[in-house]
Amino acid sequence: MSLILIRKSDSMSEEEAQMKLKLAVDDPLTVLLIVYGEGADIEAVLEVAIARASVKNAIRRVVYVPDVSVMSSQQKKAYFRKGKAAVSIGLDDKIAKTLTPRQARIRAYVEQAFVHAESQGVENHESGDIHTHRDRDIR
Amino acid sequence: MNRVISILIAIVIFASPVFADDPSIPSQAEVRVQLPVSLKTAITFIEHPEKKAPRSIIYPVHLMAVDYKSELIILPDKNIIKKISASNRPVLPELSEGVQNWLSDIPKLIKAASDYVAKTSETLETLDKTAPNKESLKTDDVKYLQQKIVEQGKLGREIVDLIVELAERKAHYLYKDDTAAFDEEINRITESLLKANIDGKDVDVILNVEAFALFVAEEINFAKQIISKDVEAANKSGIAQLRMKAWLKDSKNKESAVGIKNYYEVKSYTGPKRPRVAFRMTEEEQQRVEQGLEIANDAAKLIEEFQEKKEALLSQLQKLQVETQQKIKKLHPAIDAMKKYIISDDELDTIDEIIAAAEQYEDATDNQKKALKELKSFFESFNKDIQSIHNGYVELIRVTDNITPARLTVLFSKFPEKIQNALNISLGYPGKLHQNFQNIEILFEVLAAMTEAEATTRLAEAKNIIDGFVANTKKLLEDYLEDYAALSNAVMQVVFRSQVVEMADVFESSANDPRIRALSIDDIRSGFINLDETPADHGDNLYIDFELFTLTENGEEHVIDAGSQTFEIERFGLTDDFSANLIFIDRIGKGSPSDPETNFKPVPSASWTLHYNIRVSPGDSWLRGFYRFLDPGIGINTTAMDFENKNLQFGIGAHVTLFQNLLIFGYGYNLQASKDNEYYYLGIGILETMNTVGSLFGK
Repeated sequence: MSLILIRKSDSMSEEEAQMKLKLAVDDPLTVLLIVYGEGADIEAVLEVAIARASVKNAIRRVVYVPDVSVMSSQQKKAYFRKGKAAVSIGLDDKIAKTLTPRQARIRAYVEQAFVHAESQGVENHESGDIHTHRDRDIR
Repeated sequence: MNRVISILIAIVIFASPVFADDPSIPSQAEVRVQLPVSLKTAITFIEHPEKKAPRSIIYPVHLMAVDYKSELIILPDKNIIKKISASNRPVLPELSEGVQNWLSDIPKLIKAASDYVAKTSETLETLDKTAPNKESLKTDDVKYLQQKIVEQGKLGREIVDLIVELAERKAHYLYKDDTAAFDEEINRITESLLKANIDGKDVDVILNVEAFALFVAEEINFAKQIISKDVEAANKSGIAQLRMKAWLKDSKNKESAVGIKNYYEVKSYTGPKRPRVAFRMTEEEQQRVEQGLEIANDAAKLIEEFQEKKEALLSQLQKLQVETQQKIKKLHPAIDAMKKYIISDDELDTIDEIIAAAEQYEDATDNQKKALKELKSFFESFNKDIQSIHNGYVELIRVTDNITPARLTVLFSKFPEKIQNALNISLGYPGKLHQNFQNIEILFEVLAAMTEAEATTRLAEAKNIIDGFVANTKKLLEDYLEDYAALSNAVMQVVFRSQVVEMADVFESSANDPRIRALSIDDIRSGFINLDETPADHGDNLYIDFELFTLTENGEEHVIDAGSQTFEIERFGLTDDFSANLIFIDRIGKGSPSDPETNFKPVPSASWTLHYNIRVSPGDSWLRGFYRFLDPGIGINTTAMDFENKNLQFGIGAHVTLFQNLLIFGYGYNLQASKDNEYYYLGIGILETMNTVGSLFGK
């Protein structure tokens, strides 16, 4: 199963949840797609993310954070971007791509986020959002 | 004398390098590359001087000056102008370099895809093997595996980025701002590469390498087609056109139109041009001025007439528009009221039955039966006709809601069918009504003749319905139909007049000149100005304006780009002129003891001077610039003087001038002195001095 749930619950404290996230990020041989939020739209995102992760189970993981408040301030700074439904994290533990809620439901963009994370060597830095023609037009 | 000749020869020798040929110039393409693309840089010029080879004039490399007898060739670059005209339309940006590269080598693409598949498989297999012992991997092993992941990731990224770029381009072209449709299209295009056909499960991209290559090739071709179509569409729609006009302005700011062959039809100047070197001044120059004035007057008169006509048209149009709008306003209540007069189905059925009963009356005459048949047909179509007229009113109000010349021009070309139908019905309706009122009388006659009880009842029934109908119809249809016909007529008048005003507007926007011919960009060709067929002369300026424009759907002009170019008119090469001078003569020798002293005595003189004018461009040798600054001339003059108290004696001399005849130095011979006839002189050109001083204080 490639889904990792990060949530405070009766069986898991906030600190434990933060540690779980850290371990997932620190895994030197996997790339992550962290999905944020709740609701039917996010469920659709998760479905696509898990489907794309399953294609390369060995190196891809999906981390689900329904409530971002569970993350430490340091983790939020490093892995959360306002307005984005998902971010991909490369082997250097930095954000490789971010996805808007609309993009995160589309297989091609999720796959793009994963391969960008996979291509990111340990010395690469955050390369920012996926810009589509639409976004360029809007700008 | 020998001294003078020596000086003159020295000057000629000194100046000889100045007369060298024009230095080599960069090519037009080289210059154009350095300048931003615009209509001004899309148009280049060639001067074809009299009896000399053509030469390019490139802005800003060369001085923009032409000889007064040259032919000036205007060369619009069709390809650049097409690009300028297309640049206003939304054209998709070029495909990225990466995509261009892929297109050029599909086999390479297939190989890259195969490598990706191979590398990914290898990496995943290796990771699968190490998975159970992941925790105990050594650092080097981890680094090795990371390297493998990154290698396959880079290949995958290149391929996925390409897929996304192509899919986005297609989706954007098809759906532009429709976000939902855009997303659906992206999904549709890419799904086949990300899901297995058989079971719909997600698979690694490009599982089928050949299918992937085919997908990429198809999408790239589509992208290329979009771009070429957009540029073509941009150029064709709106029919971009190029027009230009030219005019001369002399030193007194008097303007005269100058013809450009293929673009601006102005009648040629047929008067004689002043020769470069002439010994007669006044007559030719006078004629030149006269003819120039004639051409200017012709154009001014034509434009004035047109403007007056246009003003009159505008005034009539405005009046018509107001009247028409008032009529429409007046009829507004009638539009809704019309619906009330539609006969109900029940009433129609009743009338039908009554007429049928009357038709069956045995004693009804043939004429009566014919009338009844007509009446039946009239009632059957009545509601439909009223509805048509009603629809026509509504449509008329809608289209004339905002009467502008541009809108009405469109109306003129495709007058709405609804209005036309309604007009056709209403124009013939008064006659039809009158006829059927008579038919109604005949119906009543027949019913009255029927003696049976049923007929009497029917008569009463018919009278009841039809009396009401007649009363309403008479008022409504007669009054409003006439008004409607008059109104439609008024609208047609407005449309027609506005068409004329629209044409006047077009001419006005064509720089006030109906002689301008605009060419569509596919038909663009060179323009030619033959300056020898114009009054152009030294000191004038030639102005050329260009405009690239389109016509919108409403017939309005939209200027895409405009430019202009000014040329100084010169007389290059050997040329002469006449000037009046104030000279100070100094007699060589004292003459007789009784002769008055002539020591730089001021006297008037008239000179004829030869110059050799050269072109000087930015970047030329400083010698050429210096020569032009000095503007040396040589010539002869005649002087009125008095060496011997004889009131008037004449001398002739030879001189050298500088600074456009502003300064003059010479040597002369008094023809009438008895001894010591020679003199030398210094002088200033009177008119040139006045011009110079005047220019210091502005115009």
